[in-house]
Amino acid sequence: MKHKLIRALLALFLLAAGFPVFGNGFVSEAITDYGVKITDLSFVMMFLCVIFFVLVVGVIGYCLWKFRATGPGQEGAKIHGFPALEIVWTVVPALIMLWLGAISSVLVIQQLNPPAQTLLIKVTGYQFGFNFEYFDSNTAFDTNSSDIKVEKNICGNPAVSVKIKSLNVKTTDDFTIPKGTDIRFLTTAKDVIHSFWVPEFLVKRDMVPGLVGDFWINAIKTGDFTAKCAALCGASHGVMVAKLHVVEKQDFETWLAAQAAASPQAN
Amino acid sequence: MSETTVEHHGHQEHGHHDYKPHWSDWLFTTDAKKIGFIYIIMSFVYFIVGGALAGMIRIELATPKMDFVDGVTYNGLVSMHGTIMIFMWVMPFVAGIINFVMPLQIGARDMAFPRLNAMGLWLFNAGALVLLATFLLGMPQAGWTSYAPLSTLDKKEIGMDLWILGIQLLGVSSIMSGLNFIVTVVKLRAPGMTWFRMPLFVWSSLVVGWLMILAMPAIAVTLLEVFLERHFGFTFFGPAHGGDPILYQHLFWFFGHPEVYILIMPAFGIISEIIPVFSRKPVFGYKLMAWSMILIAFLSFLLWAHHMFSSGMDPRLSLPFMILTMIIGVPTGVKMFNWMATMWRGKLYLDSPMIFSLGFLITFAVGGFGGIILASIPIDLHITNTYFVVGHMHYVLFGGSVMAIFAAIYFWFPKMTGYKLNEKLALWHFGFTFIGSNLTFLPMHWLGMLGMPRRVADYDPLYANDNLMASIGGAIMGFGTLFLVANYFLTLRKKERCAENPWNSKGLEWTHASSPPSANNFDEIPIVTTDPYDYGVLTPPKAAKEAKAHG
Repeated sequence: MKHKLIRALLALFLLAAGFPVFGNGFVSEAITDYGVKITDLSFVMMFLCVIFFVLVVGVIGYCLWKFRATGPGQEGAKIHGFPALEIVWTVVPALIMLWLGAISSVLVIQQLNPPAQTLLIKVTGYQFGFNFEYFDSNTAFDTNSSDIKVEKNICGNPAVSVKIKSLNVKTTDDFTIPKGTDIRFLTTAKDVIHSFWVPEFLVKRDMVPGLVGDFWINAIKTGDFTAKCAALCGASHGVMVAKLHVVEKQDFETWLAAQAAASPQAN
Repeated sequence: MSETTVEHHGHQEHGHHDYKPHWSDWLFTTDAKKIGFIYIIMSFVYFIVGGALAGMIRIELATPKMDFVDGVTYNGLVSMHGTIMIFMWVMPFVAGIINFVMPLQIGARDMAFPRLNAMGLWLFNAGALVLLATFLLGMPQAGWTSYAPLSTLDKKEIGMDLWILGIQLLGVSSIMSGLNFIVTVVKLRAPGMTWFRMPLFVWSSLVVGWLMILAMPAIAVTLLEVFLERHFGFTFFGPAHGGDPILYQHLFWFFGHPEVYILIMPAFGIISEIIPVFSRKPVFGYKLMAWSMILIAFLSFLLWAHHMFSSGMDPRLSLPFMILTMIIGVPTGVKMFNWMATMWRGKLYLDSPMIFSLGFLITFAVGGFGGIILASIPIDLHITNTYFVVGHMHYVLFGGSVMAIFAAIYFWFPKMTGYKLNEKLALWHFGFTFIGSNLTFLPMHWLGMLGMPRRVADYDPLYANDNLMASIGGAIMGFGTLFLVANYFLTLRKKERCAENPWNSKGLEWTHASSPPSANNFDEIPIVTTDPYDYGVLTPPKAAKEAKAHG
């Protein structure tokens, strides 16, 4: 895989430069297919940055080696510019930027178009914790239910006309998701702005009171992870975290059924 | 500029008097040089204060647990560190250095509106005192961005109100300064100084003036709205009564993004002044350098929403903001390339201003790279609001603005005082600053990528090593600053007059004004007949080729 080569080159360069790295890697380990694409994109960008950094340091180093004054009163060459060269270093970076913009846009558009049928999890932030509420977007819904109002507010997303039904499962600061399933998170908040971030998803969305944001993922690995608040929300912002368990599908079904049975609304 | 290129005219009074300075000279002064001097001294004091806050933050973060301060104090430290470094260090320093240098560079005797200038200075001092009062009465809790509704909910928090009042005063001061910069550059240039004969620092002053008068009103309105919402029952941002928290972010960043260019634009000007002098070559691509500053300033008003990709703003809107953000990297890159091309085939003298400028080129480049990575929406959704942003922003503002400010201090200190700072101490200062800042801010990029949010006092032990590294770097940087402070005191105590033009610069402020300049700046207003940066010798192509064959 070409990204492996890029990673190897990057790691080599960084080690050679003696940059402080302590074996944690550079980017959170992705546990979603979307996350893997983000990791790859960030390695491409970091690689480009390293090339340009080497260029900058190389040119400066060469100038220091080659063009040092050897005594007082010396003068350099009277060169005012070289338009062809200036056009090159305007146009080439501009093309690179447009290319980066294009490959980034592809991923943005993917996030903008979630599948119609997903497991829906509404995450509500408050000072200082997370509430999770599970919905199913496969089943028919009652147009007068309060669930729909939430959906209608989803900020500016045109692709939202899914049918949702509450699964009567609510948790706090601890949530479970199945592997290999399209999952859509709806984010909102009760008091101030919070931000819902599982670093291993490589995507976050602010939780804004009065608005609903959304993003979707599909987990490819199981394990225990941590969701964090990523927007300054008060004195205990740093300890506003929730536990995430990514489990196999059948384990998730069992968990969901147990939660629903235990829920007061089930009766 | 040599005798043949500049003529003199007019017969002005000499500014030199045998007169003992009185404190009221400084309090009531309308002289741009004295005003500039006060700005610079005050801002440096606040730099030390802001640095002390940073030191406390780094002590807290040296270990994963919250063990040095509590959450409220920590948020206060973070808020005040950002506020002081932006509004009370870089901005007033910029105002000071422009006040001192820019009129000299355009051959003017003073700023266009000296009394407005003095009023701006004392509004700044008043605003700074109000902000400092928060140390006694309770520090603001919402960060330098003060997002609503966090900033509007707790109505009893006096720190927030003081913060609003302080920033309003500083904002009005900046608008006055900005207006003054623009009118001075447009109206008071010496005869013969056409637009494209202006030194690039003058261009940066003009551009920064426009940024100030266009961006600062946005923060004034925003903070007025926050104040009304806090105390008079208005609703702009609180969703409970129909307000929109996203509106705050749009308003804030419409100010906030040009603001970061207010902080970096003068650095562009400073570096463009210094590199030609110490490379003994004209600045490469002068016109492109001037136009790129104008283009950057223009674009800076069109990309505020790149701070809000994760906020819940309409996602379709974010694409143009991403593309524009990446495009602003192009004129910035052009400046980098042109600075490096200025050194190419020059004769480099590695005096302290040049050393700091080279440091600027390297660290600012890293800051620029971080900016382009952050501009990509999919990556931004991962690393926004993390330590990656903190690392990037400090590479730009410390490695960029502050590195250039240090270069400016060493470069223009002889102009301001008549004494040259000690070169050896300057090298120590640079060494500690450069190594320390990279050690502090580079690991922050990995921390953010790995999942450490910003503005937290408590973090996962996974991040302990990189954080400890950053704290050690911070201590090194702080220690390095002592060399600069010691240098001031030693140099001013020694009172060893240096040459009038110690760097052999061809800038008007060096060739036609004494060091320090007289009260009227110039004995006679110079007439400018050549382009700036008239360095270098013409080498015929053949001679150059031969020289190459021999060398």
